[in-house]
Amino acid sequence: MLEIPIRYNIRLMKSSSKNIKIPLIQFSGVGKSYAKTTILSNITFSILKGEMVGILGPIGAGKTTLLHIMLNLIKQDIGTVRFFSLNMEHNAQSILQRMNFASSLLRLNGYSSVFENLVTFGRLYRVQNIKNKIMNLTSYFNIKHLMHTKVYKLSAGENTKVNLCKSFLNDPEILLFDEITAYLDPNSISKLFSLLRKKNKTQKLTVLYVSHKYEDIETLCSRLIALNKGHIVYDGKAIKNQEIFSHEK
Amino acid sequence: MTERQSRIKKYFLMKNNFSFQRFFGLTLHYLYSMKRNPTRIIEILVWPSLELILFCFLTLSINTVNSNMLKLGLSILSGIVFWNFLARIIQETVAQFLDDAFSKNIQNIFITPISLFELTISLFFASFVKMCLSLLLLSILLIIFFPLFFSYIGYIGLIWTLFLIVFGCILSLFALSFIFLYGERMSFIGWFISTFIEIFSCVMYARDILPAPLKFISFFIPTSYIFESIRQYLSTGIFNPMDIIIPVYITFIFFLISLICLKYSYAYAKKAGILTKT
Repeated sequence: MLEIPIRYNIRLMKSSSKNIKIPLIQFSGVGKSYAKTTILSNITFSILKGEMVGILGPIGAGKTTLLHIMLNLIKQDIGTVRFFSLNMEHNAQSILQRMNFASSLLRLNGYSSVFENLVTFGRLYRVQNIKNKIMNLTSYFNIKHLMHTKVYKLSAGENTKVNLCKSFLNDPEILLFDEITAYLDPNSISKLFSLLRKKNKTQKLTVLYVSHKYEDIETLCSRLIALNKGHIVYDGKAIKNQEIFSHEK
Repeated sequence: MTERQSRIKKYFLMKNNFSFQRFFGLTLHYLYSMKRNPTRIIEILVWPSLELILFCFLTLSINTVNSNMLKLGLSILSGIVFWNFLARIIQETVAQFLDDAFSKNIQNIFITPISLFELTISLFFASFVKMCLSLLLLSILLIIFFPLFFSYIGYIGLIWTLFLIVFGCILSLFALSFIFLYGERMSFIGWFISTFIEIFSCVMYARDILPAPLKFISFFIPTSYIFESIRQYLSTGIFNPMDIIIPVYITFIFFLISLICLKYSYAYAKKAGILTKT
């Protein structure tokens, strides 16, 4: 496929974004298998700028693999993945600069403090005014008092909040979450959701929210993509979990 | 700087996707994680110091038994001191990388816009800084326990040190390749590579001691020329420049092979999902 140079691509997107809805994320015919096990098969969807999409599915449905392909941690066997109209394979660096990810399952470096870890990621994303950003985010998520605590001493919930701070550091255009509410209390969940809604409204932030919990997706997302056994079984308005999977053979 | 020069510099940096801020950030990250980690401090400072003190006493003991054997003791001691540079670089590079894997932070690093080039350069630079700390401490200990060491080795020691650091970095690329291929199971790879190469490098014994097949292999290991050269210099006081030129050529070949290994193992890691399991 002919690749449009990044410079022109970005210009094209800016000039046409008011009139034409260009997909921000495009998956076409993506497939992934390990040995003889098919994890994802013919995954095709696109997500527009400013959409908040939930990805739902039972264990082993391929949600996390899909997320890892988006994050360039895994390369798909077939199909193409495009972000901002750029092919992930050839433009990973410029794409990853404009997105971020948080998961309750990941931790930052255990022997460094919260502040040191966040500064590191601020530098990796080449963030301006790192310290101010860290101060604002940590005070929003109520972990300012943990700034000089080593990460391995944090509880699961505190660790999730640090991961959330990291994910907002570079003002991403696309934010991906994996089971982010697993260890969060209801108050923190509502703070997170209100921040996401605010950023979605003001900055057209696009959110991809992977979860087992239908309630979270229903609260936050306008669109639902349901996966089962590596296939998309539903793509549309958020409807009840049971209704989606009850039609599956 | 002329406009043309700045254009060339800009092109070069863009071509290699290099950002000083990312390089600096990641280097600091590896240094931050050391300062509060007792295991890392012990491995960098305490362990090499104890080893050095042990061999200082061994050398002094050999000298007491027979003063003619001082050079034998010195060649063993210098083997220990110089090998430490190479082993430290490999082990630190692997340990730093795996620290993030054990902390479940490796995915967070790889989803940033960091390139493989920036990552490896940061790993090497942080390892180099830590090795310098180790070197400083070892130098102080040598001054205390065996002050004659520096007068015997002289400035020529800097050339050997530089060579061993560079070769250590190249071997680290092989170690990283193994981690990309097999994941965090390869936590022993730093120790394994350094000890495996040590056999063929003839660090504390002459190359002629090795059985014929191992001796043949040692001709392809650049560090064997260096340690032969150190022993020759200690016994005759003569430094043969060919003893550094030949290993430089072999090292260059090692470098090319290591780059190919790193590139393909990283591609394999992405295909097999090793980074997500690490």
